[in-house]
Amino acid sequence: MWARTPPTMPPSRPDLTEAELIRTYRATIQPLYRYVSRRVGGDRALAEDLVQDTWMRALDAWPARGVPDQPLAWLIRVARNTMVSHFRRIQPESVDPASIELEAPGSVPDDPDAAAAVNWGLARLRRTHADVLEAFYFDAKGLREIAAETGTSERAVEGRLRRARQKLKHKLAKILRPDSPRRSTSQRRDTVLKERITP
Amino acid sequence: MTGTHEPREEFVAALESRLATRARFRPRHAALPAWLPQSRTALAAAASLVIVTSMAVGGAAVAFAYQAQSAEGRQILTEAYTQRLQLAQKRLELAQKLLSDMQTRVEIGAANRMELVDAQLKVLTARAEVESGQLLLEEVRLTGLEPVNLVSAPLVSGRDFVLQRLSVDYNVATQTYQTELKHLEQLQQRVAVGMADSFDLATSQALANERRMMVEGIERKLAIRQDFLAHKIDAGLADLRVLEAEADQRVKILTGKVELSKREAGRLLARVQTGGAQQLEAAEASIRQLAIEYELSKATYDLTLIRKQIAQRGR
Repeated sequence: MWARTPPTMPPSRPDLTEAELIRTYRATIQPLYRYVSRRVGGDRALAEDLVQDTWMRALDAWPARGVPDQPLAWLIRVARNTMVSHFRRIQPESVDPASIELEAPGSVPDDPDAAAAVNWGLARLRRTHADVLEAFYFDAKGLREIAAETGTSERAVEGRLRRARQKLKHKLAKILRPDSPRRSTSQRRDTVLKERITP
Repeated sequence: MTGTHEPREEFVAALESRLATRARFRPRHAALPAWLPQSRTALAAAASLVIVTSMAVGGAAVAFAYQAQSAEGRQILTEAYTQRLQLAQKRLELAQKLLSDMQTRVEIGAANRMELVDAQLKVLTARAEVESGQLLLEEVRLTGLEPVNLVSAPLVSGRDFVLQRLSVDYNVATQTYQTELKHLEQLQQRVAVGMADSFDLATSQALANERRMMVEGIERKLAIRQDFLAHKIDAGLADLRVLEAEADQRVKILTGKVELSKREAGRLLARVQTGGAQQLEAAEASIRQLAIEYELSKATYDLTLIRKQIAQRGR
């Protein structure tokens, strides 16, 4: 399962002041929102709810222990846990398989329903599988970069990615519409173009 | 913000405001030193020991340090708000001098009555700024913290500063609306004698409508504040209702502006055909119209989102 991980809290100065809080908020709100929004396929209402929840958690934790040394990393970790909790609770609508692309790196679902389905699946995978899929699809990282970050070989990452993709497909099979034929991104693009130019 | 994955400015501002309020009113935690035992039982035992000893020896020192720190912050804030009040008072003095000059000019026929009305409005606005400044300073003196303008802010020592400041704003908005109506009335007379055209009249009517909507906006905020204080709605809903009122007001104002800009674009197009205006002017008017229509779509979308959130809270 895509486990929730407690954010690491390096010891730092407690007694958070309002000015410090607002300064940190202003410095991190844009990248934090972008991170969440990309993962929820641009679903604005959901992204705003998740970002707000994340900040409320920060407000609960920081006054007692201080602002972490890397607040953005902390916030992103909490946002991710919040997303996992959210997507474990919901049951997404069945989606068109063509709206989910699992082959190319950086192929972020641009449709909120598709993003919800992918996140629903990720929330039900093991942490290692979810991590590698996230890095590959959402963060558009290459095999070499993921290998360097995880301290493993590219071959090992490739194998893990293949297995993770299979697991995710297996999970998603439960919610994909059976009557929609699987199409690649280029096929979909061609269809859209045809629809546009046909009078 | 324009990108799909960029936050809305309204959201960023609203969340910042909510965080600031929560940070201000949260219960103060005592930081746990790193050397304290981390297990719950050991921590409880150690904490009891620390509490007993610190009550006798350290408590007074901690309280003194806290008081000193708090007093320092309060002093800085008080000074800042005192300066703000002094600035407002100087502005009021200046506005009063200008009004006095204007009265003299009207008496000798060097200025008209409407200029006098505008000068009177400036005095009223400056006086309202002074009143607001006094209220802000009083709140700072009582709380030692930044004043809060959210409708969900709690009372301070039994005083409702939010309501008082809203009332000051309401007074200014009402007077501004009344002044705009006077301008409109005068313009109607000028149109009747052919000294102004119907487009000027439409512009003035649109401005008067905007002023009226501002008055209505503050009336809605006042009502929300009273509902919150009467415990009819909670803080979250109160803040959402204010956002709804502001978004609704924006939609209404922009709708009026769209109509006006359409009219302006049509008028310029007609003038281009008769050689009274250049193509470029008509194109600029058309772009202005599109920009306002875009703003209206955005505002309508925001309003829908806020209403959706309100509906979700109601479930």
